[in-house]
Order: sequence, then C-alpha cells, then structure tokens
Amino acid sequence: MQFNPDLMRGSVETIILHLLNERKMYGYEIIKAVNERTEGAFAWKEGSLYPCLHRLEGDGVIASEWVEGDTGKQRKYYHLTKRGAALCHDKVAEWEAFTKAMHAVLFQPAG
Amino acid sequence: MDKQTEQLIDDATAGLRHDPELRLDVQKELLSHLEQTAEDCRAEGCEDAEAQARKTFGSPLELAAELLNGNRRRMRLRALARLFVQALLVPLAVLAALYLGYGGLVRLAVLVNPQLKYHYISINDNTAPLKISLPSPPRSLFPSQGEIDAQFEALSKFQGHPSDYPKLRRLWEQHKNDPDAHEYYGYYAQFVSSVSHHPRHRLLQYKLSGTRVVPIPTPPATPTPASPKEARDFAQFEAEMSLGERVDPDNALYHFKLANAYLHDGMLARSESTEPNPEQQPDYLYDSLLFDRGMAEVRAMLQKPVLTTYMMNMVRRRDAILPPARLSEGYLLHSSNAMSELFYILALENALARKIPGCIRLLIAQGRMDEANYLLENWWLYPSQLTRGSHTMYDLLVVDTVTRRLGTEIADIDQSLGRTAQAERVRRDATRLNAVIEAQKLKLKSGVVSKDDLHRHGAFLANISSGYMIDRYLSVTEMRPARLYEYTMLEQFGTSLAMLLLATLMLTAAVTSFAWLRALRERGAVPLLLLPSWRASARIVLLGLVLPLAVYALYSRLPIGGREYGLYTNWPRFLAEMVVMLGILLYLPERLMRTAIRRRCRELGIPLPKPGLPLITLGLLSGIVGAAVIVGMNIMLGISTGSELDRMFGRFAGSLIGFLVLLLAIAIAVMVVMLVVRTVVHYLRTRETSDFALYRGTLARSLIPLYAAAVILLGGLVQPLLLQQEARWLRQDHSLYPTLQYAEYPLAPGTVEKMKQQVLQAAEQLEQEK
Repeated sequence: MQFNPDLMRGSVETIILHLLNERKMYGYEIIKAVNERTEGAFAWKEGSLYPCLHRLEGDGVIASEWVEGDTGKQRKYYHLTKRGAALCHDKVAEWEAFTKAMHAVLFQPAG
Repeated sequence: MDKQTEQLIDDATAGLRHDPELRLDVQKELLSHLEQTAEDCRAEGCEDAEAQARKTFGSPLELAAELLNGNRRRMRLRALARLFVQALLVPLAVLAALYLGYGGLVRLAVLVNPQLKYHYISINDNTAPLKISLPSPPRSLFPSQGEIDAQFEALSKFQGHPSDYPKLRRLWEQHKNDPDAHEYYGYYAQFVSSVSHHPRHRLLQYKLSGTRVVPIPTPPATPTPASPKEARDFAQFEAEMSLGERVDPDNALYHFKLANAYLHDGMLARSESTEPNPEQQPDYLYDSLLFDRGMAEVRAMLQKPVLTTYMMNMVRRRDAILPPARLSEGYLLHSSNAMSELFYILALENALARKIPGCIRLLIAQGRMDEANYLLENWWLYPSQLTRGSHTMYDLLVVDTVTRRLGTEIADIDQSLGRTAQAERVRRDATRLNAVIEAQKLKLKSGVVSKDDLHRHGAFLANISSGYMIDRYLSVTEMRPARLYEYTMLEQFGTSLAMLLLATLMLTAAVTSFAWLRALRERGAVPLLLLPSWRASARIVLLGLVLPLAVYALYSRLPIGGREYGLYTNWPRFLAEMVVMLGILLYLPERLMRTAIRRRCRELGIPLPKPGLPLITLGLLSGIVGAAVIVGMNIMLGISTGSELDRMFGRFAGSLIGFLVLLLAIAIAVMVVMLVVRTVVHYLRTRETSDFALYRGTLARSLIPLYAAAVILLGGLVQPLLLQQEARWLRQDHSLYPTLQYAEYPLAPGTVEKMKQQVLQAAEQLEQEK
C-alpha cells in the first residue's frame, strides 16, 4: 500500500529515533529494519532516509562515526545523543497520544 | 567502483559541491549503501547486482535536492567556521605573532642594548611625545593614553638636555618665589654652560717647557674671531652664572661652571692630552686672560661648602608626579633618564680635576707661587664639596677618581718643588679620603658581602652589577622577587619566540598548501580544510597546548623547578627547560592534529601513506628528549653551582657543566635543522605526483588553524599572565632594581649615605689638622 507522502514525512524522524534508541545502526540497516518490521508497508528510499539523518545530525540529535566492519569495509553508524534520547521519548509519547486520539475519532462509536 | 555508479553518486551529491569534505563523506556513505544493496542482490541471485542497486537508488536529482535541504543548515555552519578560521583566526594569529611575538623580542633588545634603550626612551628628544613606539604587550597593562601624555608632560618638565635649557629656565621662573627655588636654578644651570664656550679664539701662545712658560715661536693658524651670536651667548652664560651665585650662594656649581668654561679655552693640561704618554706632554697656556679668570673662579669655587646640581631632587619631584612604573620599561625609563643627566655633570667634574694640576704647574712657571700654594694646600676641598653633593654611588666613584688624580699629581708637583714632606702628606690625605671606598672594594673582594648566596639565589643582574651596591647580607626571601622577575622576563621572551616559530610554521603550511592547490587543480581536486569537531578540537588544544603549559607552570613554581636558585647558576637548566617547552609546543599539538586528520581522511576514503615517525620527526624528538635529560639531570643533581659540583665531582665539575651545555647546544641545533629540513621537504613534495597528494595538501591546509590557535593562545593567555607576574615581582622587589628616587638599586642609598658621612668625617679631620 502506498502511503501519502505527507503522512510519511512526519513519521520518518520518529521511526529513526526509535530504532537508534535500540542500538546504533547504519543507513542501509535502518532501511532494512523498517522494511522488515512493517512487512514492506514502509519501503523507504535513500532520498527519504539520508536527508533526514543528516538533518538530525546537524541538529545534534544524533551523531555518527565511521566503523570498520568484519569485512574491512567502513560503515557510518548513527547513534542517539542525550538530546536525541530525550527527543525520542517525546516523539514516541506524541505519536502515542496522536494515534490514541485518531483511534478515538475513527473507531470508537459516537456517544 | 564502476563509472556509472561513480556518476550516480556524483549527481546525487551535486548539491553539496560547496562543501567538499561533506560531499566526500556523503559520497562514501552512499557508496557503502549501494555496495550493500548490490551484495544483497547478489545473494538473491541477481545477474547485474550493481545495475539493480542503481535502479533501486531512485532519482539522483531528487536525492541531490533532498540532501541539499537536509544539510543546508550544517553546511552554513561549517562555512561560517571555515570563514572564521580563514578570515579571522589566521590574520589574528599573524597580527598577534608580529605585535606580541616580534614585539617581545624587540623588547628584549631594548632592555639589553643601551643604544636602543636610549633611542626608545628618547632621552635626548624632548619634542617627541613619550609613546610606546615599539610593539608591546596588551595596552591594558600599560598606562592609558592620558597617563602617557601626563608622563611626558612630567618628564619633559624635568628632563634635562643641553639644548633644552631654555625650558628648564622657564621651570625655574615658575618657581622663582618658592623656598626651594635655588634647586630649580641649580638644575637648570648645569646645562647652560655646555653650549657656551668662550667666544674668544683659541690662540696657542705659550706652552710649559720644563718649569718655564715659553712663547711658541711658530704662530698657529689664523684664529677665528667670535661671532656676535657667540659673544652674546657667552655674555648670557656669564650673567646666568652670576644670577645663580645670588640665588644659590652656598653652591659652588656656578663658579665651577665658569671655571670650566674659561679654562676650557684658556689652557690644556697634559693629562688631557690624547698622546700615548701624557705625562711627557707639556701643559699649554692658550689665553692668559681666560686662564686668570679661570683661576679666580677656582678659588671662589673652593670657598663654597658644596657642589651640587640638585639632580636627585628633580628626579624625586618628577617621580612624585609620574604614575608608578609597572613594567621594566618604566623602571628603565626613569633610571636611565636620571643616569643620563648624571653622567654629564660627572664628566665635567673629572675634567676640572684634570685641569687643576696643569693650572698649578702653569702658575708656578709664571712665578705666581701664592696662587699655586693655595691650590696645593686646598685641593682636597674640591672632593669634599663633591662628597657633600653626592647622592649616588656614581657620585662617590667620581670623588674617588678626583681624589686619586689630584692626590697623585699634586704630590708629584710638591715632590718636583722639593717638598717631600708635603708630598707625603698629600698622598696620605688622599689615601684617607679614599679609604672608605677602598674599604668597600676590599669588602667585596673578601666576600664579606654574601657573594656566594648572591650567586646562588640572587638575580642575574645583581651578580653582574652588585659590586658597589650591597654591603650587607640579603636573605633568600629578599632576593626572591628580583630572581623570579628575571625568570618571568625570560619566559616571556621564550613565549614570544614560540609564537614566532608557530607563526612561521603556519605561514610555511600556507605556502605548502597553496603549492598543493596548484598541483592538485589539474586533477580536479582541492586540498580540504578539515576542521575537527568541537570536542576533538578541544582535546587537541587541551592536551597539546594547555596541558604542557599548565604542567610547566606548576613545575616552575614548585621547589622541583629550582627557582630558588638564580639564573646566574641556573641558566643551563632554564635554557634546557625552554628547549623542551618549545619542542613540545611545536611538536605535540601538530602530532595530535595529524592523527585526527589521518583518521578523517581514512573515513573519507582519501589514500594515506603508511604511518610512522619519519627521520625528521625523530630528529626533532631527539632534541626534545636530549634537553629533557639535561633538565632531569639538573633536578637530580640539585643545583649546578660550582661549589656543589666541586664537592660532588671534584675537578670534573667544570667539565660536567660544559658537557651539559654542549648536549643542550646539540639538542637545539638538531631541532632547528630538523624543522627547516622538514619544511623544505614538505614543500618539495608538492612537485611530485603522488597518490597521497590530496592527503598531503589537506594536511598542510588543515594544520594552519592549529598553528593560529596556538599563537593566539600564547599571546592572549600566556603573555598577559606573564606580564602580570612581571609587574608583581617588580613591585615586590625592594633590593635590587633601580629605585625611582635615586636611580640606583634600593640598597645603594643607605650604603652611599654611610660612605658619604665617612668621607666627610675624613675631610673634617683634614681641615682640623690644617
């Protein structure tokens, strides 16, 4: 199912923060994790992910480091900063409240 | 990476082209992403995994726009940082290096070079305002412009110079009705005569041949008559001296000046001759009229109790107006001003002492025995007058010279007249008058003054010039401020040297970077300006600069630093410490920065040469280690005074010090040579084509801000701290630095006063005996 880009745009940050809160990841890993967990519902492109990652890094919410892997190849891993951890918590809480409100409007009987 | 993938990534990062480092970083990230995608494709059995990966990549143009949006703010901040470095930090560092670094070294030259010092202080130029005309440390530690103007005003009021006497006369006129008006007049009068010689022409008429005055058969060249102006000037001079006699009747100064003026053109004593054996030269009588006038003035002069110019009184008045000196230049200014005025009058006093015996011989030759006998019996009144007018050790030394000269020559005259007993008495009287100063000299030679302690714990300056200034023991506590002052001054100059060396390295890095830019442009590459993150930059500055400086500050102020001992004995160790510090400041921050740059270049995929310490760096390190070994040896040995080393190493002590100094010299030479060679090698590499060209160019360019930061840190933090310490030690020193009131060391006035009273006692005894 293709989602409205406006709908997606607001959730990319929250998803990235939540994933990085679990552990540090590199870009491709994030795309794969999102794809797997949503069973293909969210099929992110590079154009969605990397600009957002860079913006978050510029804002000091996440930080990056190049790490040499087992294969000798270097990968750029991202992790949350302290500020990012606090933001993640707020964003998730915000999303919870939002979905609860949406659910109340859409699926609960009137009256 | 195949060409299509390369093109795809280039297109996708086109929006980041204004930030080459960021672009490289993002390109590598995207490449890693594509490679991972291709791997997964391959694992699923795709035939052309790379093409598949490119297909799933999406539109590079859309990605370029998104990446630009996502990185816009970051790029702006990074651009600002680069602009700050290039437009502000580097120029500021150049200015700091020139103003503070070069200025510090010039300051050293000013302080040690009397000619430069006098030029700087403009003693003889009252028309120039008293400005700090050379590069100097921050203004906040110097007087404000208003204070400088006030200083000049006060200095010029009392600053004497032969060409400036009209100004001094006006000063007297302002104080004409004061109780101390005679002091202003006397101070003025000492300068008047220097430009006024008698306008009568010098005509060599007679000379003393044996004991007879004979006319010179061959007349000299045609004499030049006085010009009307010369005649007017001299008439004014005579009038001023007459006025002085009325204003200041007890002072022999005015008769002294007139005597000098008349006798200068009236006669020439043989001791004034510039021939190799002056005692074999004749005395010359040039002008009988002037000679007679001179003799009359000498007699009148000897009737007065004192001969003084009130110079120190003027110095005290001036220094009461001026703000207290806060730095070395202030002290030098005040004391050298006073000394420059003092030496002028001392020269005149000596000149008259040369003339008097010649006058006596000429009087005898003319048969004027009464006048000659008067001088033969009352010659000692002259040094007595000088003694009463003495305030400084230099005055007493002139008394010593005058007494010695007059005593010797007058005794010789008595001897030539057959008056052996009289001659003996003259010699004895001269010895009695000089006994005090001779005793002072003997005291110093015999070590009654704490010479050994002075060597070990005293200031360097005290050791080379304390000969006549100290006649009591100084405690180590008393010597401390002067001693620490010298260390602080030298640390300042070491800091200035470090700033200049770092600035030189910065400029050579800039030149090398520019050369790499030209070399790489053909390949379409540009050396990057890599700025580490704030955290990484702070770590480099703290570990590479602040920490070594803090360790040195702690080391030097604790007992292990050996600052209890003065530079006179401690200089090899101190020099070694400076070499170690210089070496660390030049090497360590660069090494840390180089490591950070290598790491970043590796992240960006820039080819790197193998790591390791090249020979050049090894040479640099060996110099640092060598100097550190010397410092360590000094710490272990205690202090390298001659007596202690003699005790420990016997006759090998001198050799040990020599060996240490030789090691140090080698360490310094190795470091300097390695630095130069390294710089040249780095530059010459730009002419080679190399896989590592981008790395080397990036390294050169990225080191520039590090050197700039180091220069600014030293100039902005270290130098002001050292200046404050200099001011503090100067203010606390009450033993060995020129006092503003006596133009001599603070210990001198007490000694001078004591010696003066002893000389006057001897003179009073002579008078009673006569």
